[in-house]
Amino acid sequence: MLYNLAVKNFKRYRVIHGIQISIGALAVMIMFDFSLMGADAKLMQVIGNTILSRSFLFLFTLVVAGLLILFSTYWNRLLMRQRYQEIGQLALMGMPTLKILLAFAIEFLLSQIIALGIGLCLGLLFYKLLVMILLKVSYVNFAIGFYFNWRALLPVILLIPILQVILFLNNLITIKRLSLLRLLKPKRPNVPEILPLWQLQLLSLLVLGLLLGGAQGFVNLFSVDDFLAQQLNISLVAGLCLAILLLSIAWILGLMGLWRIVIPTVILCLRRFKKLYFIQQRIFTISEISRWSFRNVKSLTGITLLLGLAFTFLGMGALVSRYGLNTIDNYTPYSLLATANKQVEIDQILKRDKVVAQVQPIFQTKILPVNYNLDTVVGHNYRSNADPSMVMTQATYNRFARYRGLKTLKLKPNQAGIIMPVTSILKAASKKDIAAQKPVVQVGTYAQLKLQITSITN
Amino acid sequence: MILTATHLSKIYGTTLNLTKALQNVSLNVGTGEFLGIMGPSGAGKSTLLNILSTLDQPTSGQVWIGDQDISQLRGQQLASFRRKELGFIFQDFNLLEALTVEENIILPLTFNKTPAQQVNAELSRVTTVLNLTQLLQRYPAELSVGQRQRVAAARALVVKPKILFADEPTGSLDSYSATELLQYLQLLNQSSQMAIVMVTHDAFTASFCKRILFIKDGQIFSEIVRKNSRQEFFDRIMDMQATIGGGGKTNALQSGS
Ligand SMILES: Nc1ncnc2c1ncn2[C@@H]1O[C@H](COP(=O)(O)OP(=O)(O)O)[C@@H](O)[C@H]1O
Ligand SMILES: [Mg+2]
Repeated sequence: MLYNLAVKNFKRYRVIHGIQISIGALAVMIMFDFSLMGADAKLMQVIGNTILSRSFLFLFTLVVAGLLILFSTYWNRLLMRQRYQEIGQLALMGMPTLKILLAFAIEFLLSQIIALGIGLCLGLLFYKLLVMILLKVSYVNFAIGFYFNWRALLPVILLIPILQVILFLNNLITIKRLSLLRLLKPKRPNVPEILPLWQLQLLSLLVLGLLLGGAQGFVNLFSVDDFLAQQLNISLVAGLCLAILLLSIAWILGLMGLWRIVIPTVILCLRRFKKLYFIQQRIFTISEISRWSFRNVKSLTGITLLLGLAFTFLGMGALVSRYGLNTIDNYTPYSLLATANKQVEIDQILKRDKVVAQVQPIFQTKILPVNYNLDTVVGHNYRSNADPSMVMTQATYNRFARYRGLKTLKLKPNQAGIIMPVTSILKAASKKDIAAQKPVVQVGTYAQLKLQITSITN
Repeated sequence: MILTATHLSKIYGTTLNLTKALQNVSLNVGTGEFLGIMGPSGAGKSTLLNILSTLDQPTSGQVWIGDQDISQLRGQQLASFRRKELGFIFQDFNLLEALTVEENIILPLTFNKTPAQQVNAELSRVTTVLNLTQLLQRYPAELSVGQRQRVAAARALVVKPKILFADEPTGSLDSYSATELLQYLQLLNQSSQMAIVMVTHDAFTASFCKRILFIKDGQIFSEIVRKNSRQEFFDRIMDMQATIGGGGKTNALQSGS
């Protein structure tokens, strides 16, 4: 009985389950692939000491799993709210709450198992592709084949019981909180006020602009904060905070507008094409989607905000770790700044200065990061605690330069600059001495630098 | 008496913003009676019906159904009491969209663990009376509003409740479907010992009842009993509505909520 009801409901709400399955499958695929990579010993030998280390892969798997759980919980809430009346009816007919919830749990389990199946297949299928892309980014040559490992499967499969328990408890709390009367109350469609279409279209463009601007701003975060700090004559830290605040606001407003304005407008425009209606044939129709999305506009906004914020923070985290951590590094500012096609000249300069450098580009940008090991530069008497690798964009460099009153760089596409700060190589024999001599630097200030700036032209 | 309610009051809200939805309402419903509850919008009709039908608790007062004080029932006991003794019909047709008409109708019996033989007997009993035999394999989405409401009625009646509660059952129906449904209900009421308590704003719908309570501002305002023809009863209802004020289309629309 329970199972029958669940299967029938699953078929009935196939559109909603379909969306959940697609997103779930995607998440499972990503999780599975990262989990596989972590387990792939041969692969880890090659890329293990780049940014794609095992712990990074593990962290990423966790983050994806967390996002999937968040999304599923929210989606489940949306689905439940859609079906309060159904629950009310069942309760009214005397079905115990636990059984009702069990029927829902079976229904969700069906879509989760399908998502898992599809996700695992996709994961196996695209493993090679994904790894190849990552290797390409890392400039590592490695022949990669298909790979499978039971241990890697475990965390992915474990996700389902965890998810089930979370959803079940969540639904139990929701239903227990509501009275039977509240459950039986017919839902009133939540139709937003409709402005004239041209105004909506204009607003939609504005919202899209806002989102685009926000995205651009985040990508260029460290130019934006510099700009703000200069224009408003405030400190760089304040500028950075202000920039993040402004961009977050733009991003949040944009996301809200996406659901409140852009998507309704798109639906309103689509509605004019009568051919898109197939109500009688019971096909996935515009009218069905539009009714549904108007009714659930609030919850959908919530979901988007949640996901949007999650990705924003993820992106910001990546940005900050990539640039920010280096810029506020307490110890070591060595860096090398150049356009990628200047490798030959750079090699010459490094050779002239007797610096043994290991060139290992990680990101395919205009900037060429150079890693070199201090030990090989100045011998064993000199040590540094810092990871001797650093990437600096022109904007970042110029920020320091301005701060230190140095010459700023204006690189043309065919120009490269090399910056070789030397001061934070610590002359010390023991770790204790290093601790004593470590320059104390606060965020936004910088250790004593002696900079050599060399410009190379073709 | 199948139902006795004494001194029912219902107060909504906080001390700052009190709504006295019901004040000291007492009433009886006889076995096999067809009682109507009428009154202007916001008079407290739905509140009263919800309390009588165990869906809501009164702030004070008591309700007895049969010889059961319903305030004594909790949780699973209450659910089982509802399932076995009471039937419900609402203005918007509460059907499970994923199930066929047949599955919808027999659903309450599956919860009662009724033997298959009896399930079939009950099914054919209600579907014959409500003229649904042709529609059993359809899905709710494929039915007209009138048909859907008849399915809802069939589902309420399949367990042979002692008392059927209906809140604006004809509120969303056209006059033809409404008449049809009311005639079926009347038939069932006459042929069995099932009592019906029906909330309505509509004089025509109410004219199918045997007795009508008018409530206004949460209190019983007056009561009229049918003596002669339905036409004569209808005229008296209209008169009373005029006296009490209110009613009409807006009431029907609001009382669904
Ligand atoms: N859940 C509630 N919370 C607060 N007030 C309510 C609630 N339900 C009903 N009321 C109030 O109680 C009064 C009676 O409502 P109701 O019984 O629905 O009227 P009717 O069905 O006669 O139109 C109205 O004033 C209404 O606003
Ligand atoms: Mg009402």
